[in-house]
Amino acid sequence: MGSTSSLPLLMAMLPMLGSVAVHFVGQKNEKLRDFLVAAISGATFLISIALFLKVRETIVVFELPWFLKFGLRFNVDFISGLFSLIVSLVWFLASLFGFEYMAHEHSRTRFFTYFIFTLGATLGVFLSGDLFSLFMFFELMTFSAYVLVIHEEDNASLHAGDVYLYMSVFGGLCLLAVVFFLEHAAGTTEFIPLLEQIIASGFSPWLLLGFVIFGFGVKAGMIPLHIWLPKAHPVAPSPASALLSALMIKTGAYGFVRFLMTIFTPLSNEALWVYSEHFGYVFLWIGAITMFIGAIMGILNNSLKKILAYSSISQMGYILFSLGAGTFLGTRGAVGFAGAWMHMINHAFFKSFLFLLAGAVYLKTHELDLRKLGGLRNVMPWAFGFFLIAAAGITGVPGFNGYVSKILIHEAILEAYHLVGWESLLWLERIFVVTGGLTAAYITKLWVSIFLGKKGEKSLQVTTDISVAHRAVFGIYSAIILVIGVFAQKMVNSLVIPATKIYRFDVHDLEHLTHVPFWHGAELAGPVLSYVIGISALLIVSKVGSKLKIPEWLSVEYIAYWIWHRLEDLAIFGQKIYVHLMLLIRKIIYWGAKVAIEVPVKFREFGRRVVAFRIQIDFRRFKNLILSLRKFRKRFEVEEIKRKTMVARKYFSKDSLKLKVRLKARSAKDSLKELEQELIEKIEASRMQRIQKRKQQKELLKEKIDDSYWNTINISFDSLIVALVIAIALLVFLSVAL
Amino acid sequence: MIVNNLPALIVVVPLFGTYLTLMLGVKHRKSSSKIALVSTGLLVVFTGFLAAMVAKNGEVFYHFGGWNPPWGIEFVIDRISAFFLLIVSSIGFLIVVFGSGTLESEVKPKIIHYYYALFLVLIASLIAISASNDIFNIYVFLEISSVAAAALVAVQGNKLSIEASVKYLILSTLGSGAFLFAIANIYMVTGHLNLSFIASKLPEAFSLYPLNVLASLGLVLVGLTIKAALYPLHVWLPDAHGSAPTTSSAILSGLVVKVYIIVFIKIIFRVLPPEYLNKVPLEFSLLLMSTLGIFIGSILAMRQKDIKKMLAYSTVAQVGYIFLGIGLLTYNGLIGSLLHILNHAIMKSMLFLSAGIIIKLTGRRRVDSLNGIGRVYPLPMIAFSLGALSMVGIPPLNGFVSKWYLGLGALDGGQVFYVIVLLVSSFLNGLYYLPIVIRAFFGPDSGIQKPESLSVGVSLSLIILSVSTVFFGFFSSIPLEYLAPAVSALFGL
Repeated sequence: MGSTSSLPLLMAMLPMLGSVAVHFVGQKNEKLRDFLVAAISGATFLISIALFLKVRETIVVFELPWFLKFGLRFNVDFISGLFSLIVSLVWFLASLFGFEYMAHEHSRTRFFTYFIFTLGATLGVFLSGDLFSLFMFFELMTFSAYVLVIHEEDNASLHAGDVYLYMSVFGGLCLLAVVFFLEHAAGTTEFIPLLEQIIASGFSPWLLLGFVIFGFGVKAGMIPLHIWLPKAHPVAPSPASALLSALMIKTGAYGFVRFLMTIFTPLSNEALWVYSEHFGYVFLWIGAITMFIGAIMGILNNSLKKILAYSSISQMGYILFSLGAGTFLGTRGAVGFAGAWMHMINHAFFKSFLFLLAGAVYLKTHELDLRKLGGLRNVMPWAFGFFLIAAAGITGVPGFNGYVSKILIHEAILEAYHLVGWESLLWLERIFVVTGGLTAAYITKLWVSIFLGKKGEKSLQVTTDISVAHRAVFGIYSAIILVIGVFAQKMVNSLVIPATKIYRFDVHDLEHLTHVPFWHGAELAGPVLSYVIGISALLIVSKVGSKLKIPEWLSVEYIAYWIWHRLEDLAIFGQKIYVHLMLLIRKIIYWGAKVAIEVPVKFREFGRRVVAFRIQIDFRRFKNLILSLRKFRKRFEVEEIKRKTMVARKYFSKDSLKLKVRLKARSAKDSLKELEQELIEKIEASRMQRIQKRKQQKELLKEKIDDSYWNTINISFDSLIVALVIAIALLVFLSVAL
Repeated sequence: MIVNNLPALIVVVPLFGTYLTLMLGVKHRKSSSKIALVSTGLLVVFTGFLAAMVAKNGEVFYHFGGWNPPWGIEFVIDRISAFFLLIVSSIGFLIVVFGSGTLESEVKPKIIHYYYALFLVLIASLIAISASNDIFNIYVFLEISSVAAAALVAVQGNKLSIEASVKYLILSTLGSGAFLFAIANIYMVTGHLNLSFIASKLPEAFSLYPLNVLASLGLVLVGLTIKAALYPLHVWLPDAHGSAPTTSSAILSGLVVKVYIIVFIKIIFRVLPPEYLNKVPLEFSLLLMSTLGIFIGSILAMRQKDIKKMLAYSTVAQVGYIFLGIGLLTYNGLIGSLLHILNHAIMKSMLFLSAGIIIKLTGRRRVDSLNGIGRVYPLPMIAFSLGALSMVGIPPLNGFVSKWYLGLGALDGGQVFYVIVLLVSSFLNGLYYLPIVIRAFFGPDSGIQKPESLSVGVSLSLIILSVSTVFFGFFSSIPLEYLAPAVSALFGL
């Protein structure tokens, strides 16, 4: 089955190897480098078109079995083919946008090197044929995208980069755990139904699901694993944040699709579909919470890119929600899957569009704070127009692409309700509608505060509209958004229905997908409702917003740090106990020695000469040693005091000498006050200096103590005693306790 | 002639090198590094040849002086020993190459020939320990190796290093004592010192004197874990590795710690009958100690401010990994720990060497003072970063491969907990290694100016080590296929 072709490998490797060329060319010639970047991403786009044409008929397979001994496997079906096409297209557009945007940035060559490398890694994630290959590309993507995140290299971006990197490494390790489990349970990590093997191996699928959620959830920006996202996306340069938000977080969603739709499904045992139902229900709630909280945070923020980042979280919530609805219904969930899939495609376009537009605005104003922007409509009419199109796309105005997927998602949740009839599903539907309203609210807030109203302080300096090149890029985006929106049913037929082949969907439901009621009155009323909710929400927030402040302890990050600090406290407490234990042992030894020395001495004092003479002499010698040590210390202290007083004397006498000389030199009348002032100043200065010095010394001492505090554990011989004790205990345990 | 006597030659060559360095070093101090270079280079060739021979013809036996066992001393070189011999000689060679450029700055020129002599003695003892099949012979070389290693720690002569080496000596004497008692016990009940003969007599002896055998097993465990620095018997290691000269730290962390693990594997899997493994809580105690070691080693490494000490604590954690693989008592677990011996030898010696050269060039030891060093000295910092990423277990670097087999081994044993241990500790590794790497390449500068150029030896050894980090990630099948027959023989597969 399927045809073998090295196109996938070529597609992933061309940008990765090309990045090396970009690095070296960039040292010499910037124009050539830009051309090379465009050529590489353009060529990748062309290859992806060729690949997509192939995978419409069959599955393309390619394998490098020698690679790392486990083999690198590419297995491109319709989903992978289509999404890698979208990835390379958006990347190409972003790189075209990026040349002008990056022109005023520093370390451009580094940026473009990693920019192109990340393209290869991201494509690899989508093209991989098994989880192991996916994991490899996933890690590569994490590390190369890190360089894009911290491009600015200021404190904010470094901090954001740290959070991003650690969370991603954590997610990657969870994914590795999944790889381990699958390899152990089934001997393969390919994307095929494996639920029977997983259960047969004795591990609970819930444990595996937990690892999957942590593994992909970090990348997907799922609440509460989202904390890195609103930090990292805004600090990156706009072309990079467009890709981070539009494409890289999709790798998480893609992973969930592969797991929920194939790996966690049974091959033949129909009774196991119950797992799908449970997993789907979990994902419905995860999605609902993610989209709702993301949208709320979006409204409450005031930074252009931060709102877009929270919007990404919220939109990922839509995708997970719809995926959950699809999984929940098992084989009948075709509409849910269609909604998730369509929204993944749509979000890739409108979110990268919005981020690039934000970049275009930033390019002119160098400001992201909405309160300092405003009134740009007259100066930047093109940007305004494009922004409206993107906004219509994301809020789901009929005729624009967001509408298509939102209708599908809505249909999916309603279908779930009709088929199962749980009350909670109706509530989820309500959350979905309200979130649609909130989306309208924050997007309206964005374009109103950027383009309408009075001119903000930063928008005064803007004189020109976006450049022609940018207009061309945005024109392509607008065309895509409109085409998907207008030819909704055709798009579903050609983009979604072939993708459903990965799953064994019910034929009846697939039939349903071919005539989705896109243009019915009830569905068309949906967006109106959401705009009504949105604008009223916006009005409420603008009235109350300034007073409304979310308490700090509610944020996930705060809680995480709180737990971390408590753990640290605990560790320090443990160390303290350890140190005190050591001190106690030392004291006991000391007291033992003291008693051993003093008792014979006392015996002698009482006149009892029973104790052996020799021992007495030894101890007397020991006592003498202590005494002489004491004497030496006393002498040393005296010397020290003497030295200090000498110094003090010298200092004072010098000053007074100077005073005398000056008194002589100047006439007493006018110089006295001046001198007094000078003296006061001098004394003050020296006092300040002394305080400063003392502070420094204190800090130094603190650091030293801090150092030695941790080092006591290593350097002191106490640990030796402990080791001996443990060794003996081990010996006893091993040889006697048996 | 040479081929027949190879097993003896690999011990004789470094010992003869020692003799030459001491003799010639009196007059020509500079010659000592060349002699060390030549003898370790020769050793690489010999051990490589030996490894190929073992792969082709099976185990190589060598009886010293023509005396057959059980009377004479016997060297048996199987695949595992040959594998480790090759690691010892090649890493040792690279360390000597590195040292030829930098050692003068760390060790007084007056005693540099003594340093090389000790180094060669240490290598000879490592080789003899892993090749020998005679338990008393192993003990003798064990003592030689601890004395030489302690001397290599103390060679700088400052207060810290002397204190560290005294501590090391005391604890390793304790370990040797325990091992000697074990040998005495075993000799008493079996009447043999040759490992193969002990193995054949042990079942009988076990039924007659179970307590003696168990006690000797416990003594072996304690003795070797002290020397291999398994938590909680690791106390000597951070000081010794942290305060020694760079080359000493590299060989101590990369090779010396592991030779005891090889001895341990020999005794546990070759001598002890498999059915007795379940009669002692060996699995339990090994797993407990290694888990604790992995966690506490990593946590303590996180708290360190001195970079070398941090690396030393990281060694404590990594030794925990190796013992974890042994304690799992599964095929994949043992493969994982043997691979980790190789990978950790490469990674840790590379980390210590690059950290050492950075300390030498910039004079900075504190972890938080290394900002922007990657831009000034790219090569050492790239080597350091590769090692660090490999420690975290990022594919396709070699650290990932051994972690992979350890994880599979844990799952084969049905112990999910240890998979989680592996992953959490990888994350902890990331927490203390990645900040150094990040701050070295990105972020504010530290104000280090005017890079001194690296000497050829330093660059060469760092480049070779970096390349092999990547190479053994991509081509892990090479050591794997070499080891697979030996390990499956140990498990009777």
